[in-house]
Amino acid sequence: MTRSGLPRPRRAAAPGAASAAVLAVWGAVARGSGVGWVQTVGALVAGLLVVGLAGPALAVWRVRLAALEVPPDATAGSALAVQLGVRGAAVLAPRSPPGPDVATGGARRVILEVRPPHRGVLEHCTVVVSSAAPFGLLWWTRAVAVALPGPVLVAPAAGGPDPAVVERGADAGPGSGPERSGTEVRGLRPYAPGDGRSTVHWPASAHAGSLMVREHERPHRRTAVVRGHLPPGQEAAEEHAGRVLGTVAALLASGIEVELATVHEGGEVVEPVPTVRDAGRRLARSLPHRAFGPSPWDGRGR
Amino acid sequence: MTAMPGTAVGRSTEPTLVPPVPLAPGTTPDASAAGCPEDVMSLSQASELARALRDSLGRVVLGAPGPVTVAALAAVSGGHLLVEDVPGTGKTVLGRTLAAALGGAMSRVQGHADLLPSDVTGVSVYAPERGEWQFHPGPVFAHVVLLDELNRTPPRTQSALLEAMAEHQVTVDGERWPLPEPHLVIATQNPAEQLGTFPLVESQLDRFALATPVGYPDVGTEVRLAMGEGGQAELDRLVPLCKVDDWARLVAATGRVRVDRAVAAYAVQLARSTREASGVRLGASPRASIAVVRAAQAHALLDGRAYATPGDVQAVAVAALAHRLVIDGSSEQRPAIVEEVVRTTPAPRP
Amino acid sequence: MKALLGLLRHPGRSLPPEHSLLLRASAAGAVGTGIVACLLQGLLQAWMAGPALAAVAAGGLWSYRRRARPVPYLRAALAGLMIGAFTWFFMTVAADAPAGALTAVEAALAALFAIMQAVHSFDLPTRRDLGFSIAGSATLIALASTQAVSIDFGLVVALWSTFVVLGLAAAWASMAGGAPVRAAAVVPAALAALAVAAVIVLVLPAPAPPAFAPASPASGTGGPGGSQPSHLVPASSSASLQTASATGPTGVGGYLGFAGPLNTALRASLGNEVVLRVRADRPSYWLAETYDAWSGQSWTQSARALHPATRAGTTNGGPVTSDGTRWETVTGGPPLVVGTSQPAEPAMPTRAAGPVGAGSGSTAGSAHPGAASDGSDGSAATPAGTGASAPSTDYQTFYLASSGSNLVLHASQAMLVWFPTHRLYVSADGTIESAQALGAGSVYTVVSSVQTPSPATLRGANGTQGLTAGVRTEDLRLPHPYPRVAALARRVTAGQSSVYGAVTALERWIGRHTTYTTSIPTLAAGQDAVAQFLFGSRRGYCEQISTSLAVMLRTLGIPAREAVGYVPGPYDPLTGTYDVLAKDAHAWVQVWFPGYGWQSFDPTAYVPNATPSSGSSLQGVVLSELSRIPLVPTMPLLGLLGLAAVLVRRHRRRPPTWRAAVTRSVERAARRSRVPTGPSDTLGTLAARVDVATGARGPVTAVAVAGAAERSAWEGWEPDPDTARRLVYGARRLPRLASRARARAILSRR
Repeated sequence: MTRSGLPRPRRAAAPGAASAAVLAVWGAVARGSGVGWVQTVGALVAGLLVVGLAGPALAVWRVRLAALEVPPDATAGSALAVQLGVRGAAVLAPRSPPGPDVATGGARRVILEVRPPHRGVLEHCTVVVSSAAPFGLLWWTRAVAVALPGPVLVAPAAGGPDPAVVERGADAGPGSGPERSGTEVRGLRPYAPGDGRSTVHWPASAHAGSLMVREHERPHRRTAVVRGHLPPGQEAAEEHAGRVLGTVAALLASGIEVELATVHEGGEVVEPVPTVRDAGRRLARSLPHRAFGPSPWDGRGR
Repeated sequence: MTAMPGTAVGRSTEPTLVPPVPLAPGTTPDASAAGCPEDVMSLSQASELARALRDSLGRVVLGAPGPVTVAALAAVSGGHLLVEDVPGTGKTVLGRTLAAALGGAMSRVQGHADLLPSDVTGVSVYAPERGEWQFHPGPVFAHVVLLDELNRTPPRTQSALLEAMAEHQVTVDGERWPLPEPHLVIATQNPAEQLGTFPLVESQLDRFALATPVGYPDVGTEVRLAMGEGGQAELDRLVPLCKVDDWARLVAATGRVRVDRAVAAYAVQLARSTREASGVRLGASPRASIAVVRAAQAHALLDGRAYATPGDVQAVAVAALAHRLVIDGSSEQRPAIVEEVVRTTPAPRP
Repeated sequence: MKALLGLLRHPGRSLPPEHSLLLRASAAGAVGTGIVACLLQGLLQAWMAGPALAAVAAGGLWSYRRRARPVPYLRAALAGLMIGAFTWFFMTVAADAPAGALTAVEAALAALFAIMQAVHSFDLPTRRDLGFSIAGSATLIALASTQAVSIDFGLVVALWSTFVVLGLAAAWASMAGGAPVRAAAVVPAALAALAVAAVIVLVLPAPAPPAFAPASPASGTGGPGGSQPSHLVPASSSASLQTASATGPTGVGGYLGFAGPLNTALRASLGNEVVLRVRADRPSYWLAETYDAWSGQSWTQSARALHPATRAGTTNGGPVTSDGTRWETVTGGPPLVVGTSQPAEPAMPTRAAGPVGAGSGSTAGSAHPGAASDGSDGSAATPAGTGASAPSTDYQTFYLASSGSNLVLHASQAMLVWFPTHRLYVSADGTIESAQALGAGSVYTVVSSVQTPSPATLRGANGTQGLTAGVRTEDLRLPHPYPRVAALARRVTAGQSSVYGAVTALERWIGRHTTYTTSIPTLAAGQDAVAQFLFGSRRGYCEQISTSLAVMLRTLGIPAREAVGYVPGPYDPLTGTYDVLAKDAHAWVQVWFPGYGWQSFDPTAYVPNATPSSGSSLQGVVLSELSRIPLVPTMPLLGLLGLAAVLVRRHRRRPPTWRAAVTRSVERAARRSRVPTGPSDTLGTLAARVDVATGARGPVTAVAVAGAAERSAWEGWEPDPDTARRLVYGARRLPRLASRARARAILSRR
């Protein structure tokens, strides 16, 4: 689903005035001189100018864009590669989120490198399509909102860890000793009723003289609850979200399970976040929402 | 204790079922399943058998060529069938006809809120005289299992059934019991009633390869039924078309129907397109694509062809895809959504 | 200082270098075409155009190689060269063309632009520079187009347009990130530009020739139907030569040529080929020479005293004397460049302007030196007898398309001639001769003095005053007395008191009693042409008609002589010239009016039968120009090209497999049957609908061929070649069947 604005000429004053002047002079000469070849050459030049000045409107109108592939996650301030399918030659200028211009060069697929400026859920990418086809005399532009194939959750740029956002500390604070992850066998302990037969470690039992069982889980779950409640105000929320994400990242790196409390439209959600990515996605969706860029239809965009 | 009081567990009388034998650990049920065909059925034989099956069904179930075809497709392709309709529209007859025509055993379970997993799968009972536990197979141990009002059974029972359907085996007390092959589950659910039901979760709906409504018969059909055409009377006259082994070979033969890469891609594209259709919260899974292709193969057989075409895919798309969608509006709109997807997706041409 | 040096080393280069070779080649091609166009139109000399072309090519290559590595001080050096070129230009213009002689400026301008392009081509690192090159080439083409006088210039314009379109398309492709220039994009754009150009050409007012002045005392009695502005008007000027202010092309005159005696007994066949093109301020009777001695069958010149013409502004630069016996022309030097200034005022008492000159109208062709002639415009607006008109200058440039005689054509009283050779001779009667015959391609320009007296003023001028005795004798001499002619002349002119009245009365009589034809019997030896015409056949063409008038006037004692030359041919709005055809050769009569000199009268214009003038719209011009293209070599070529295009297209569009062919046929049949189709329809579905629509009348049903195609595609089945061929042929019939079925359906609905 792609919505787009009407084509508009860009910086048309100079080419338009120059063309009008050329045509006016030539028209006068052609009228006055009465020589048909002057008229003919003038008409050819006029034809080239008319097509060259008006043609890009048609060309830019006919350019079709569709987002083909986009990663599901992004980080505010970092490049996000959006793969676009393009029909028609044009120069694409990502406007929201912003990014460097890309000349398609007749390619069917181009990759736009956009940089979402802040966190949020990115569903559209507004691209200003420019074309001067067929003669390169005048640029026409058109703003196109390209629907992404799926929402991109833009995580905030991670800030420094902030102990203040850790609400309920674990038995070890962030940054304490490293722990091995829980999938491998952590150790042995004496048999207790209820343990499965298959968990008995026979060599160790023989050694110890009593039944020993393998232990797969950590004896105590170390969990921290991080308060991801964002303050009102876009900038403050953005900055705070970055700190929250940095804290979660630091906690997870220390082997501490993190439960992240965030506020969404349905209310507060307190759920574990296994990875930093999950935390970023949660923060991307959490309130207050922040839309990406002005769309061409809200009256502000140009 | 074989059944809870009030549980209606019926067993067909045809003695074609081989008593189940527990599986050795590490083996898959398919490899050692009973009734595994030794020889191979040719595609032309398979096509004849499939069409004969459809005709038999059509003679018994009057006035519903669509559902009859879908039921035949399910039987031929070896997929499970979900019938979404109000009671009293001939579902049981449909199941019985399938079982009778294909020479298989049929059982019927009436779903209700107290139905336990063991009521479906069976229980191990200690036999003191022999001093050992003995497995009493439940009604799921039949070639054709008719589960009425599946959405009235509690989720535990549903998931027990889920395992049986997906893996063609039942696990009771750590022991695995293979189900007879072929194994066809025909489940019904009543979409009109919501009170006291446990709506089927998406994963379970996904296990059903095909789904179809049956609908009330029209007046003419009802008159014909009342005059003794079709229905039970016809079912009584029905002679088996083949042995149950032939049915298994038929299912195997269906898998050999040629599916061109473009046709398969078309099926996959249809399934993918449902994920992007408007109003759809959850589209068809990759498993759905497989089901579409299987059903298309069966449809090709019914049409007397040894290859599937995009037309086959279109013919089975609604039956294979619609029931899997989770949509914003009423579930009755799901076929329309799939039809729209089919209409807008370009079909491959030679 | 350092900053200044740095600026000189590399003045602002912020744009990226341009890599597109196509753009560079096209820009160079456009510039080269412009230079060649100027060379072909004579605006540039070969010694200048050759090096300029070489410089453009070499500079283009150099610029390409050094596009990414700017050469220090290059731009400053080139700017210095440009300044030098401008200085030269202004000095040349100031020295050579003081009084708005635009042609001189045009040549210098062309040279300036060529030099600028040559210099500029060494500094083309960026796309913008190349754009300037292309735009600059437009000025060269524009300059050349003002000088173009033939349809061949269209080739140059077409070539240039191709280069420009290619260059612009390449520029855009380069802007869009180096996309390839595809014909599918360029050709429609070029066609669109061409269409716009065509619309503009059709909408713009077609260049029109200056209007004639139909007002004449005799016009009402002119040719049949009265619509034809038929008269020859006595025109003005004092002592010396005549002005032939004429209407459009008049009767076709049989004509022998411009040398020796004019034998009315013989007639050359004259065709429609263009002998010369004339760019003139106004259409005129362009005079070649006059004859005074009549022998009864042929005209000769009694005694032609030739004086060498002198260079104006040198010895006796005063150009014209009042008696018309001698005047000076300029010889030698490059054409169109030498020359002093205005021709001198004829030494004639000011007279009221007549209505005859009215509507000499606007100027035609701004390319002429001193195009505007205010005097004639003034007289145009002035009613008869109310004001005096100063003589105006009239410029004519003659482009000879075929070899001609050595006579220099001119309108009215010639004052100055820019001529390619060094010698011109002038005879007493005003005939100008070159020392040698003029070949095709010769170009010369004549400045004439034009004054148009009114009939009213001419009526008061009678007698032979001003004529030398010898001339008077010759212009009244008759080979033998013409008693019958004299009697006729007296009867016709009875009651006319003035010479002017007599002349017009005779003209009208001839117009009423003779008819125009070019097919007349040959004259027997000894037979008198005038007697034969007036009393025998009364059929003839301009020579018979004009000779009769001259002889009748002489019998009345009025000095008269025969004049030959050209009338303007069809006006060509494309080139702004009059195309003078061979059949536009003409003969008319000059009559002496004291104080006004020889005045031209064309009795042929009164004689019924004349050809209409050329079309006035550019469509007509285009059609007539197209009709000039030789069909024999062109048509087979076009045919071959078209055939090749069709074959290439078919080859490209031929489906690769029988399956694709069948599919396309079925799809086409479905479209033609207007059955509902959608993207989801499989071939089998379409085929079924086609069969329903067509009634499955074909030898093979659509369902059958579609089924085979589907089976082949989805099962991998391949038919033997024979079957495949039959399927393809069967499928190929389906679209036709579908069309027919649809036509039947529509008809039956009616």
